[in-house]
Amino acid sequence: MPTAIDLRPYAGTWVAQDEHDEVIESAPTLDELEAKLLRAGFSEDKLPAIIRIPETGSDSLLL
Amino acid sequence: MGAAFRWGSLGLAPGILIEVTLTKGYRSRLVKGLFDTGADFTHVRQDWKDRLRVPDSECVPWEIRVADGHVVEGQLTVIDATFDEHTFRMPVVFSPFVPTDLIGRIGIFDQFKIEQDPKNATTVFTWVGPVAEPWSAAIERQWKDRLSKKPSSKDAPT
Repeated sequence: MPTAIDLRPYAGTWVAQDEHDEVIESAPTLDELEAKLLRAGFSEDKLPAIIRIPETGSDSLLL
Repeated sequence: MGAAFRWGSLGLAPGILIEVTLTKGYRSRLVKGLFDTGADFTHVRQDWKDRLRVPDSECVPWEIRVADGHVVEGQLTVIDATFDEHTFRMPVVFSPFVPTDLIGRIGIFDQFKIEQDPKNATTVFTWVGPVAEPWSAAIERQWKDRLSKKPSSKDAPT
Protein backbone atom coordinates (compact mmCIF):
# COMPACT_ATOMS: atom_id res chain seq x y z
CA MET A 1 0.00 0.00 0.00
CA PRO A 2 1.44 3.42 -0.89
CA THR A 3 2.61 5.44 2.02
CA ALA A 4 3.62 9.05 2.51
CA ILE A 5 7.21 9.87 1.65
CA ASP A 6 9.26 10.56 4.76
CA LEU A 7 11.25 13.74 4.18
CA ARG A 8 12.22 14.27 7.81
CA PRO A 9 15.78 12.95 7.29
CA TYR A 10 16.34 16.08 5.16
CA ALA A 11 15.20 18.50 7.88
CA GLY A 12 16.63 21.97 7.48
CA THR A 13 17.68 21.51 3.86
CA TRP A 14 16.38 22.22 0.37
CA VAL A 15 15.56 19.09 -1.61
CA ALA A 16 15.02 18.44 -5.32
CA GLN A 17 12.71 15.58 -6.26
CA ASP A 18 12.02 13.85 -9.55
CA GLU A 19 8.58 13.09 -10.96
CA HIS A 20 8.42 9.93 -8.82
CA ASP A 21 9.11 11.94 -5.65
CA GLU A 22 12.57 10.44 -5.34
CA VAL A 23 15.19 12.76 -3.90
CA ILE A 24 17.73 13.82 -6.53
CA GLU A 25 19.81 16.31 -4.55
CA SER A 26 19.77 18.24 -1.31
CA ALA A 27 21.71 21.25 -0.05
CA PRO A 28 21.65 23.67 2.88
CA THR A 29 20.60 26.63 0.71
CA LEU A 30 18.50 27.11 -2.40
CA ASP A 31 21.42 28.69 -4.22
CA GLU A 32 23.63 25.69 -3.50
CA LEU A 33 20.92 23.26 -4.55
CA GLU A 34 20.33 25.01 -7.88
CA ALA A 35 24.08 25.13 -8.52
CA LYS A 36 24.28 21.36 -7.88
CA LEU A 37 21.39 20.72 -10.25
CA LEU A 38 22.94 22.82 -13.00
CA ARG A 39 26.25 20.98 -12.58
CA ALA A 40 24.30 17.68 -12.81
CA GLY A 41 23.04 18.70 -16.25
CA PHE A 42 19.65 20.28 -15.56
CA SER A 43 18.91 23.43 -17.52
CA GLU A 44 17.76 26.55 -15.72
CA ASP A 45 14.34 26.47 -17.40
CA LYS A 46 13.75 22.80 -16.58
CA LEU A 47 14.71 22.43 -12.95
CA PRO A 48 12.93 19.72 -10.96
CA ALA A 49 10.53 20.36 -8.09
CA ILE A 50 12.25 21.92 -5.09
CA ILE A 51 10.99 21.76 -1.53
CA ARG A 52 12.25 23.31 1.67
CA ILE A 53 12.14 20.81 4.55
CA PRO A 54 11.47 22.48 7.93
CA GLU A 55 13.94 22.22 10.77
CA THR A 56 13.37 19.55 13.40
CA GLY A 57 13.04 20.34 17.07
CA SER A 58 9.26 20.53 17.44
CA ASP A 59 6.80 17.82 18.35
CA SER A 60 4.33 18.97 15.72
CA LEU A 61 3.85 21.55 13.01
CA LEU A 62 1.25 24.31 13.20
CA LEU A 63 1.47 26.34 10.02
CA MET B 1 -8.74 13.04 -14.44
CA GLY B 2 -6.89 15.64 -12.41
CA ALA B 3 -3.46 15.63 -10.84
CA ALA B 4 -2.63 13.28 -7.97
CA PHE B 5 -0.01 14.30 -5.42
CA ARG B 6 1.50 11.83 -3.00
CA TRP B 7 1.56 12.82 0.63
CA GLY B 8 4.85 13.51 2.37
CA SER B 9 5.92 13.70 5.98
CA LEU B 10 7.58 16.91 7.09
CA GLY B 11 6.54 16.31 10.69
CA LEU B 12 4.89 13.41 12.46
CA ALA B 13 1.74 13.39 10.34
CA PRO B 14 1.71 13.26 6.54
CA GLY B 15 0.94 16.48 4.69
CA ILE B 16 -0.33 17.25 1.20
CA LEU B 17 2.69 18.28 -0.85
CA ILE B 18 1.86 19.88 -4.19
CA GLU B 19 3.91 21.36 -7.03
CA VAL B 20 3.13 24.78 -8.46
CA THR B 21 5.14 26.47 -11.19
CA LEU B 22 5.65 30.14 -10.38
CA THR B 23 6.57 32.31 -13.35
CA LYS B 24 7.88 35.85 -13.51
CA GLY B 25 8.77 36.95 -17.01
CA TYR B 26 11.02 34.34 -18.54
CA ARG B 27 11.93 32.75 -15.20
CA SER B 28 10.01 29.83 -13.77
CA ARG B 29 10.51 27.60 -10.78
CA LEU B 30 8.65 24.44 -9.75
CA VAL B 31 7.96 25.04 -6.09
CA LYS B 32 6.89 22.08 -4.00
CA GLY B 33 5.09 23.12 -0.86
CA LEU B 34 2.64 22.11 1.80
CA PHE B 35 -0.97 22.66 0.74
CA ASP B 36 -2.15 24.68 3.73
CA THR B 37 -5.92 24.98 3.88
CA GLY B 38 -5.52 27.30 6.87
CA ALA B 39 -3.65 29.88 4.81
CA ASP B 40 -5.48 32.41 2.65
CA PHE B 41 -2.41 33.16 0.58
CA THR B 42 0.55 31.24 -0.72
CA HIS B 43 3.56 32.08 1.44
CA VAL B 44 6.98 31.14 0.16
CA ARG B 45 10.49 31.63 1.43
CA GLN B 46 12.19 34.91 0.63
CA ASP B 47 14.77 32.94 -1.42
CA TRP B 48 12.19 32.48 -4.20
CA LYS B 49 11.88 36.25 -4.68
CA ASP B 50 15.54 36.31 -5.66
CA ARG B 51 15.40 33.20 -7.82
CA LEU B 52 12.37 34.52 -9.74
CA ARG B 53 13.88 38.01 -9.85
CA VAL B 54 10.75 39.72 -8.64
CA PRO B 55 11.76 43.37 -8.21
CA ASP B 56 10.92 45.37 -5.09
CA SER B 57 8.94 47.68 -7.36
CA GLU B 58 6.40 44.86 -7.81
CA CYS B 59 6.03 44.05 -4.13
CA VAL B 60 4.07 45.74 -1.36
CA PRO B 61 4.42 45.19 2.40
CA TRP B 62 1.88 42.65 3.60
CA GLU B 63 0.98 41.77 7.18
CA ILE B 64 0.45 38.14 8.10
CA ARG B 65 -1.16 37.00 11.33
CA VAL B 66 0.42 33.68 12.32
CA ALA B 67 -0.91 30.84 14.44
CA ASP B 68 0.20 32.27 17.78
CA GLY B 69 -1.48 35.61 17.06
CA HIS B 70 1.63 37.58 16.19
CA VAL B 71 1.70 39.73 13.08
CA VAL B 72 4.73 39.46 10.86
CA GLU B 73 5.45 41.27 7.63
CA GLY B 74 6.12 39.84 4.19
CA GLN B 75 6.13 41.18 0.65
CA LEU B 76 3.13 40.58 -1.59
CA THR B 77 3.28 40.25 -5.34
CA VAL B 78 0.90 38.72 -7.87
CA ILE B 79 2.41 36.43 -10.49
CA ASP B 80 1.46 33.61 -12.84
CA ALA B 81 1.06 30.16 -11.35
CA THR B 82 0.63 26.91 -13.24
CA PHE B 83 -0.93 23.93 -11.50
CA ASP B 84 -2.08 20.78 -13.28
CA GLU B 85 -1.36 22.52 -16.62
CA HIS B 86 -3.70 25.41 -15.83
CA THR B 87 -2.23 28.89 -15.52
CA PHE B 88 -3.82 31.60 -13.40
CA ARG B 89 -2.88 34.65 -11.37
CA MET B 90 -1.78 33.92 -7.82
CA PRO B 91 -1.00 36.29 -4.95
CA VAL B 92 2.28 35.22 -3.35
CA VAL B 93 3.78 36.53 -0.14
CA PHE B 94 7.54 36.26 0.24
CA SER B 95 8.43 35.72 3.86
CA PRO B 96 11.65 35.11 5.77
CA PHE B 97 9.65 33.39 8.51
CA VAL B 98 7.92 30.40 6.91
CA PRO B 99 9.64 27.08 7.73
CA THR B 100 8.51 25.59 4.42
CA ASP B 101 6.67 26.92 1.38
CA LEU B 102 2.93 27.03 2.01
CA ILE B 103 0.43 26.87 -0.84
CA GLY B 104 -2.70 28.65 0.38
CA ARG B 105 -6.33 28.48 -0.69
CA ILE B 106 -6.46 31.34 -3.20
CA GLY B 107 -6.22 29.94 -6.71
CA ILE B 108 -6.64 26.34 -5.58
CA PHE B 109 -9.84 26.17 -3.51
CA ASP B 110 -11.76 28.38 -5.92
CA GLN B 111 -10.71 26.56 -9.10
CA PHE B 112 -10.13 22.88 -8.30
CA LYS B 113 -12.15 20.01 -6.91
CA ILE B 114 -10.06 18.39 -4.19
CA GLU B 115 -10.37 14.76 -3.14
CA GLN B 116 -8.45 12.95 -0.41
CA ASP B 117 -7.44 9.34 -0.96
CA PRO B 118 -6.01 7.95 2.29
CA LYS B 119 -5.76 4.43 0.85
CA ASN B 120 -3.24 5.63 -1.73
CA ALA B 121 -1.81 8.48 0.39
CA THR B 122 -2.67 10.97 -2.30
CA THR B 123 -4.80 14.03 -2.92
CA VAL B 124 -6.33 14.58 -6.34
CA PHE B 125 -6.94 18.06 -7.76
CA THR B 126 -9.32 18.40 -10.69
CA TRP B 127 -9.66 21.68 -12.57
CA VAL B 128 -13.17 23.15 -12.58
CA GLY B 129 -12.16 26.74 -13.31
CA PRO B 130 -13.42 29.83 -11.52
CA VAL B 131 -17.10 29.60 -10.66
CA ALA B 132 -17.33 33.38 -10.43
CA GLU B 133 -14.57 35.97 -10.26
CA PRO B 134 -11.34 34.23 -9.22
CA TRP B 135 -10.48 34.93 -5.58
CA SER B 136 -7.18 36.38 -6.72
CA ALA B 137 -8.86 39.21 -8.65
CA ALA B 138 -9.77 41.32 -5.63
CA ILE B 139 -6.29 40.83 -4.17
CA GLU B 140 -4.69 41.84 -7.44
CA ARG B 141 -6.73 45.06 -7.51
CA GLN B 142 -5.62 45.86 -3.97
CA TRP B 143 -2.01 45.03 -4.84
CA LYS B 144 -2.07 47.36 -7.85
CA ASP B 145 -3.67 50.10 -5.78
CA ARG B 146 -0.96 49.84 -3.12
CA LEU B 147 1.75 49.69 -5.79
CA SER B 148 0.44 52.90 -7.36
CA LYS B 149 0.82 54.64 -4.00
CA LYS B 150 4.42 53.58 -3.46
CA PRO B 151 6.93 56.44 -3.69
CA SER B 152 8.50 55.15 -6.91
CA SER B 153 5.59 53.60 -8.74
CA LYS B 154 6.54 54.40 -12.32
CA ASP B 155 7.34 50.72 -12.99
CA ALA B 156 4.14 49.42 -11.41
CA PRO B 157 2.15 46.93 -13.52
CA THR B 158 -0.99 48.31 -15.11
